Amino acid sequence: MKMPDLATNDGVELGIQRWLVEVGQAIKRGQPLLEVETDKAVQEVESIATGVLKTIHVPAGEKVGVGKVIATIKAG
Amino acid sequence: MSNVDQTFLLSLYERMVLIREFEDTVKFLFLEGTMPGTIHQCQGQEATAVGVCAALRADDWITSTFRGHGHALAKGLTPQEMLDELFGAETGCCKGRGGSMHMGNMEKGMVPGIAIVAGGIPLAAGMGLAFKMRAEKKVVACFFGDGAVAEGAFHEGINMAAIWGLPAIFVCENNLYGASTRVDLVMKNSHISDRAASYGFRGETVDGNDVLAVYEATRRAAEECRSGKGPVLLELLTYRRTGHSRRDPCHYQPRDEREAWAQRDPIDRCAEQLKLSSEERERIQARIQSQLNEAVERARQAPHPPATDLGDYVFAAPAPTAAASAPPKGAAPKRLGIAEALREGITEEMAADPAVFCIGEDIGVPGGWGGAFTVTLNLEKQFSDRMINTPIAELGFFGLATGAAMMGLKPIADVQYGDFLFLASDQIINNAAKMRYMSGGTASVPLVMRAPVGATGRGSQHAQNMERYFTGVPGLKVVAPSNAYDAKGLLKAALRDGNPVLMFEHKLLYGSKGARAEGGAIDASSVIPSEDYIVPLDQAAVRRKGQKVTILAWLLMVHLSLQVADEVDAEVIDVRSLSPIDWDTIGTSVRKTGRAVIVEEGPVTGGVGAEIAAGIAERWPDVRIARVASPNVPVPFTPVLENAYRPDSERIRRAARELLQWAPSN
Repeated sequence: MKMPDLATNDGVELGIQRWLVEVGQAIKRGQPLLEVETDKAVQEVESIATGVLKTIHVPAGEKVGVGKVIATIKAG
Repeated sequence: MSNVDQTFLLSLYERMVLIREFEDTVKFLFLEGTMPGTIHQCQGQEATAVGVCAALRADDWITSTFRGHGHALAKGLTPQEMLDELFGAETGCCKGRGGSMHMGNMEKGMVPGIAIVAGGIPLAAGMGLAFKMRAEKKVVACFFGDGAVAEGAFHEGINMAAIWGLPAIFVCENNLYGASTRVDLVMKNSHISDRAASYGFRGETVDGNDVLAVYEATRRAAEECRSGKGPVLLELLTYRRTGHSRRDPCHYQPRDEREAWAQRDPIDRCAEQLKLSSEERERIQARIQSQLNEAVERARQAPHPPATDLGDYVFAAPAPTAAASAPPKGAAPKRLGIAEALREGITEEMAADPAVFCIGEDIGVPGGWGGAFTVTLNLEKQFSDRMINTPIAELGFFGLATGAAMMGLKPIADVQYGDFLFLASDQIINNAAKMRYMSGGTASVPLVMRAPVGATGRGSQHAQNMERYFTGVPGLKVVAPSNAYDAKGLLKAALRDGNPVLMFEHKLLYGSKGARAEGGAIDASSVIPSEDYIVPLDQAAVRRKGQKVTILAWLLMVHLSLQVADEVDAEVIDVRSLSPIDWDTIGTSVRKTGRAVIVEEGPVTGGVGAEIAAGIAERWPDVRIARVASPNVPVPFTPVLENAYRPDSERIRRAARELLQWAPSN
């Protein structure tokens, strides 16, 4: 799952405020997984799939660009 | 509730789930970055689309907005054709030419969405007009949001639907927010259904999240429409659970409001009415999700149109030769002025084809003037049901004409003064000119429009030459006859062309007599043959052959150019077709003479003459070009200044003589 484009200016990196779920947790598509700080506000980012959260690639407190992989979900 | 057929209600439930799953699927495709463009989604509003469309018959129609995915699925478009469209594929419902905001399928009774807020309301009224004129029992449901009721198009459209009792159900999806602005900030009376009463028809507010309530209200409204008691305004109260468009986190929606509406979710409520268990709900959702996932995979692979197809679908291809209207028996050729020739042409075409009708202000009032320049004088005597006299509502009735044309009628819509076209320009340019293209060639707009132009002592707002604002609009043909023969022939060609055609006429060339005669008028009469004829829409005409300099002009300026042509041995070309320009005829002339004077009534900057000059310079760079046009001032009233504004034969002569000083290079 990649960092979606959240109404930011081009090239701005988005800061991950906190993850709302843990690795190994069952998740549903649409469920908020993390909070991201954009230049406008704090937004929730929802899961794109239903399954189990396998890996968190970018921890809270770090910044990441749009389109970079932030999580891996085992779908199913 | 026990009366309700459970199978039917289940079908409504599943259709709503389909919309919800479709929208959520698309949302994540979008956030993934694999889907181009933008989306405006309707999660939370599923019951409005499903309830309304369930009450319509297969041959009823809907119009839609930029938030049209739910309408489309409810009307019967398939997820596949919509996903293909969203991915920009050739196999999309609009062949990839429309995109998210223009979903539609003419074969399934959905006009491609109109993305201009309220822009579809006059269209829908026009569709209702077509159904009524053809005595069809069809109904059109017109979707729009709360934001639309502030637009003039809303008022003009529903007013005309009301006065003519048109079979239209105006469906306002009031989700409390126009984009991000709350409804009570933009209207003092936020009971939207109240507005119907002020126009003299019935309005009703309905719980828009109760799919059965929506269905029942629409069923009642459709019955009224079919029995001639329409229109009806339905205000459906609902709520958007997603952003206005992509990337909108909805921070303007208060949290408690969101939560309150989440308790009234239309899908949850329908599931309760059906007493579905959570397992049954999950089963249905999983089945639909899996079908959608398959459709997504196919859509990802769907072919895109090649870039070489960019020019397809702008215009409808010429129809096979339309039936010629029969000439009157034993008629001899006669000399007519432009107004008379147009009147004759309109009469003949209306007599030959019941789809042709006229719509405009004061055009067919018994005892009236036949429009501002007598063109339609007395036509209501012969065609009482096909001369539609409108309120003063140019945006509205040009939109109605567009909608009627999309349903296969052939309207002739006119403004009393060309200056009023500005009011109609959204419908002409954003709707009529674009509909064929953005529908992927599936919709057509056989709409003829007429407008008088030119300075005639009435002041700057009744005097403009409007050609410049409409030439170069893709999807719109523009012609300008300088004489009666051309006027009649171009009008007939336009009515048979099947595309939007805008004909400009000059006020000083009509040849009207008596009370409507114009001071300063010029004789533009011609001998009109008795048999049927057309003048092709895309051709210029050589009015005088010459050797030394080419004068390019149209409308009144043709006549002034001819006045000096002999002295300078000019080849005078009546440009006549302003969109497209006939470069062949122009090129043949300017290559011969090497000099081009472009004469235009209207400010020199950015006029049609600028396009002609650029086109000549690109193609034949050795040609020496001069423009004779008005200065960059609004049209003055006082005659001394108006005469200085309008190019005269002296200025044309001077420009031609100056060019004659230049020897053309080889």
